[in-house]
Amino acid sequence: MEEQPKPKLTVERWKDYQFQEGVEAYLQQHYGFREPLTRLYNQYIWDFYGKTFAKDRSWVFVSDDGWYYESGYVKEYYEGNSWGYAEDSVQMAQILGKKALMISQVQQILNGLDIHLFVLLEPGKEQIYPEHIPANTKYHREKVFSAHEFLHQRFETLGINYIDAGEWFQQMKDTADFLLFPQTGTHWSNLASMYVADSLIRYMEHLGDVNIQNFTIGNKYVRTKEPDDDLEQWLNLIRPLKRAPNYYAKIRLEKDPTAVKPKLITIGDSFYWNLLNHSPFKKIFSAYPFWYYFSTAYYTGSYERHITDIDPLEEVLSADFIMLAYSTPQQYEIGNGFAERFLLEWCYDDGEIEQLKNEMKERIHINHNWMVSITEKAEKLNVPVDSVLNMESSYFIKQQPDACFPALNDSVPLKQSNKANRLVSQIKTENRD
Amino acid sequence: MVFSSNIFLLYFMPAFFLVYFLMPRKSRNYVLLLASLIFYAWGAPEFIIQLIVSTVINFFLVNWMCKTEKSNLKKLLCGLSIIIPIGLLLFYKYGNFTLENLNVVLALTGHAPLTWKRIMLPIGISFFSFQSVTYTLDTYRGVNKPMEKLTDFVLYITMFPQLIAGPIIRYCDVADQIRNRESTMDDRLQGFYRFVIGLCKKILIADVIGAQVDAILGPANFSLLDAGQVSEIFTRVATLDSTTAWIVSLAYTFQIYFDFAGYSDMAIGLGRIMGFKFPENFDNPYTSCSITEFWRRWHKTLGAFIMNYLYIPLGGNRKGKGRMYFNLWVCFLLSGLWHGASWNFVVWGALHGFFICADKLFLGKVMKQIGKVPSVILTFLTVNLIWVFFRVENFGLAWLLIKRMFAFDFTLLPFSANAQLYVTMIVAAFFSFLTLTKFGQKAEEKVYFNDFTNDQHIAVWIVGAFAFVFCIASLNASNFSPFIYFRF
Repeated sequence: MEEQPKPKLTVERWKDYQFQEGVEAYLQQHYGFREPLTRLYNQYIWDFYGKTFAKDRSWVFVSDDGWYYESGYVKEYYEGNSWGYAEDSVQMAQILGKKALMISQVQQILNGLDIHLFVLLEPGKEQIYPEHIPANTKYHREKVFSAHEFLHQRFETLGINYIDAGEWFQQMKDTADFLLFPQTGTHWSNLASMYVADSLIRYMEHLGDVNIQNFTIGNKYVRTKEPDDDLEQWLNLIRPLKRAPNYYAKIRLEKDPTAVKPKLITIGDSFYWNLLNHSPFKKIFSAYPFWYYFSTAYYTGSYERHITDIDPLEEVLSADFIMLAYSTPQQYEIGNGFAERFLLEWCYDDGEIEQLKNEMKERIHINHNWMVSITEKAEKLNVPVDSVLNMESSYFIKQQPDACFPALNDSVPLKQSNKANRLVSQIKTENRD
Repeated sequence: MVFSSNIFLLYFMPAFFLVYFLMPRKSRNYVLLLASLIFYAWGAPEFIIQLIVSTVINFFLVNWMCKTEKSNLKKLLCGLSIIIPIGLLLFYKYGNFTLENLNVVLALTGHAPLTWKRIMLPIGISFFSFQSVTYTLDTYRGVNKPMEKLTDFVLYITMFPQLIAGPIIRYCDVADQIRNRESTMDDRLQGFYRFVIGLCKKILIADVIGAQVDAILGPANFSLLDAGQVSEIFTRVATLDSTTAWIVSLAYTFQIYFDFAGYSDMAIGLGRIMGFKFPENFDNPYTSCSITEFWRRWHKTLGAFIMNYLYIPLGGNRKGKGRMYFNLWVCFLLSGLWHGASWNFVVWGALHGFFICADKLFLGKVMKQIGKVPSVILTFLTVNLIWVFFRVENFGLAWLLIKRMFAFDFTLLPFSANAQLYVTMIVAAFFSFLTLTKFGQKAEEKVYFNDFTNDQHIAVWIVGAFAFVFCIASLNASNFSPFIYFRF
């Protein structure tokens, strides 16, 4: 739930009810005993009806044998998440094919600058442990498309660097003596994430032909602190759920004075947090910004900014490795517009982007239905029509890159903006120095 | 400010009662008045000045009316004093509706439509306007003397427990209590219990059921939805099986009862804590054997108002049978329109008027002949069907839902699929029909109206306190949900 700020009282805000709404929202979150009261009601709803108010009413599915799944993953298993993005598998393949092509373009550009982009196809719990998914879950549509299968194949064709951790987990599942996904959690287990981190370091060493500090994973032991029960924590109940033990292992960094400390930028979903928190990433990398769904940028410590407030081109050109890391349901939107934004800024200067926006606005202007919907939106938001038009055209440029990138074709070389030229020269100068 | 909100339950109400009971008895009306004005200004800041000004003008008009000996002037002042609140009600509540319908006529006759800035409806206007009318007419008829103090009159109109959604308290019922009232410990405890019962009805029953009704039917008013969202709702309703369609309609039937009765219980409870004895608004309406009886049990204070200030002045049953049927129908059409400026409410009122007339003509006799239980079931199902027009402002959708109900493609729904809704509906049905049994009647008498011994007070207080805490806990999990009758 979004943290509500303390509202400010002004006559205007009082008259248009903003102050009152602000106070009510603030007090809803800030009163004595709120936490135990919330848990009390959650426990009642859970015990009597097997439901949760953690996010929405069907967020968590529970099997008869006590396995917990987040709804997005169950949906991925039964129905696939393509339905939210496309009307059929052909359209989905077109959308995702374009995304893969753009990632490939970015990889090629960065390769020339000795920056290594790769994709980590993270596993989903439904992919590794489908046998526990509740059978009575009702979905209306048939699964016609799997982003994981499509991307795996397309990355091979396009020569995109990738690791298929889903495939790897499936191979490991029967031999591993610990759970790769916890019974009451949605992300990979703490111990599994350590092995993933170890493999990633070795992969990066191979990809960049560099020596990065390695670490060894000790014997596993049961740990009660920081359990892998993120779904259980979101349920926010009074009584703990029954679950298999949470394994952990001690990690030891190998001393290597010749090892380099590269900068890794990760764009992806919340699986990354386990990599960061349960492996020595913080010691191995000189910097490790995390662009969560290419929306919020997290830096060392608690420093965070919105992605629109940073210069991704400049940041990417200062990194050594770029990792796109997405689990199965999120792979339909792989990159969340990262490649599009990178290529937009790589190819076009600000003036040209503005011109593209204006062209887009013109296209919207002559479309009667589109203008009607924009006018309605402006009325609802109580903002000028032009500001909605601006938002819509910017959004369209990012979402429909083919409209802005007529040159986006693997046989046609991309042009380079003045800004990109300047940044590349800077890098070359720094490297020479 | 809604009674079932954290700000009211945890801040406004405790702070108010603390100050109220710490003040000497003479000052308590001033505390209540100030709190009521803050309460109204919180929810409708743009209308508070208008509410105060119109109330003050009315006070002086009625005082002048009582002092003057001239009969014509008396009538004129009485008329003016009624026209002010009713005029405001007509302007705010029916302004948009009138212009919208005028535009339909203009479009049909090939004229350009009118444009206007939509008028916002001041919260509670339907209730405090009627109370103002009862004050004027009760003093005009000599039932009560007018208030001596302006502050007492403003308090009568704006008293926060019943300001927003009633009960509509006639001036003659509360005049003496405003001037002088006792609040014993028993009153305070009974008031608290009554408030908690209302809170449980609202939060644990009405809101739980309402969320499911909204999930299928969407909001009552479609004006804020775009064409895509409206079409989605139509598609959803068109594909309902008959079982679900019946569940939705029955769910709303229980939701509106527990929502409105819950509010009334809370209002009566708050008043009781201060020593007021507000009139009851509900008397187990779903146990009625006919629509006529239903209206004696449902929203009783509105029924009493219509009877005393509309039906009887129109001639009631004194001018022949034909005129009586006409009067009844007019009363119910206006009652429908009072609920909302929309044609669906007119249809809702007209249908009730039709069944009331039918009761008088033949249906009442038929109902008596078939026995109590069948007549209760038939009346309940009739009320349930008519509620569809009350809930769904779009005629097309209302008709579609009714068609789905009678499509006879019933399916067996697994209980586990929506256990909370079904359990809550069973609980709602249990309490709705409990008084059909003698045990139920005794239980209701005991809980609502009997005095408790000290030991019983301790036990009931503990249960009440736990229920209060539990309701607050459930508020965390739910979204903001105002009372249905706040819209009217």
